[in-house]
Amino acid sequence: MSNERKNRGEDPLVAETYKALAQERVPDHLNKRMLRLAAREGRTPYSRARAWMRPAAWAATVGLSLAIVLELTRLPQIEPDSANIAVPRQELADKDDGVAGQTRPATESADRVTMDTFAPKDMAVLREAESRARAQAGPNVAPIAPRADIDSAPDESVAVTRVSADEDLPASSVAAERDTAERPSTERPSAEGRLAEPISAAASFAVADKKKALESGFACPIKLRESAESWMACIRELRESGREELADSEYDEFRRIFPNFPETEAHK
Amino acid sequence: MAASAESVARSTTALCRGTTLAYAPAMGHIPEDSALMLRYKDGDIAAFETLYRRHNDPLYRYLLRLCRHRDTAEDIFQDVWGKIVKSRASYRPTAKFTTFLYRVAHNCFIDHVRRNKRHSNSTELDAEFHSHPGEQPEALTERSLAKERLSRALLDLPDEQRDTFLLHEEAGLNLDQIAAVTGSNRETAKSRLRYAVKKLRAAIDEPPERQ
Repeated sequence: MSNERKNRGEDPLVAETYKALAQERVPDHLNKRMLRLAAREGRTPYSRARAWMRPAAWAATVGLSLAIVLELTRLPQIEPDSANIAVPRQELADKDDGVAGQTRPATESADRVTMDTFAPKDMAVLREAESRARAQAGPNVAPIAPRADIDSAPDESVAVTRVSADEDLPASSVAAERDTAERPSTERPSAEGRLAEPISAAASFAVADKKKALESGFACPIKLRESAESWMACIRELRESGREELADSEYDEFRRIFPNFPETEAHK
Repeated sequence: MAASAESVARSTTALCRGTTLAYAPAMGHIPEDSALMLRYKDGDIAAFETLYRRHNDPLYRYLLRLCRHRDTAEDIFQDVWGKIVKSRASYRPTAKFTTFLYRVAHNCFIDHVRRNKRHSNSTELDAEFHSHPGEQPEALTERSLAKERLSRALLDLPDEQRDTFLLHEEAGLNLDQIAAVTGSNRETAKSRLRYAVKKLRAAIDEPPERQ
């Protein structure tokens, strides 16, 4: 065993004697110099930045988390009715046709989504009806122009303000609007322009027609004015209900449109 | 603080001197010294200080006995650690850190020898050892005499044999690692070490009357 260790170059006595001999230590000034050098050379830009990067990262994380939590608490609760958005557009359009004479809340989200698909068709029909009525009624009836605020206001008030504002519009705007309505949806100007179209166009315009007729002195709806008999019947109903002034103004208008209608029949 | 660091350095040195570590096969994991060096590479100054405290004294003694001159040893010592610091960016833990450190030290010593021949004529350590002029040899204990003889014999060894012996004793390197540091093969390192130990043992066993 001892010979093996000697062959490998090991001798315990030599090793122990050397350990006892070798007790020198590095001088302190040399240690300080080397550690100073290592500290000076060893600092990387990353290690210098590390002192402030960690608290900054923590602050950013906390801030971001708070912002996300606040944002989540601010979000409105999703109502179950909003599922109607998924209803097919054609179905909504059919439904709209069915309730053309009724008013619907302007805040209904499904209408907002599907408005641009059926509005041009309805608008075209309404414009045609309007132009027919204008041809029959004469120049007193003002054209109807779409308004941007129709989305945000309730139907009744929208209809009233719409009539009062539209009376000042020139006739040229009617043609422009008709062009806009008849163009495909991809060619239409912008989202705001599309929003200017009525939400529930058929319902709003029906109400608007009634209001307009009442406010302008024509108590009878346009549909009744299409034939002399129905118009006369409406006038008769007005008289029977005690609304003499409206009945008189309607009769004057009736006479202007149908001057040859028999007098005796009109006085019935 | 300093005392604890010194005790750590001492215990590490003692571990490195142990035969178990000196002849242990290469471990599969990254040695702790290499991990410290990698941490220093990332800017951890404290890691380097730990590493430095582990190896500074053995390296200093290695250079001191290799150069046989204190100032030269200190110059090379600074040169070695300066190179270690500068090479941190390219450091790869492919070998034991001690092997890497002493290879740098060995090369620095060779460069110094090539630059000037001062070390060959310097016997400062020899003169230091005889710093007890009034003291008679008889007054010295047997152990002190053995140390004196060993010191003389060590200084008289050829450079290659002294280098090999010091790498074995101070750095705790095995024959393969010594061969890697000195740029020789294992058998040459083994032969040098055997001759060195044989001469040193002969010097220690030398009868007192022949001093």
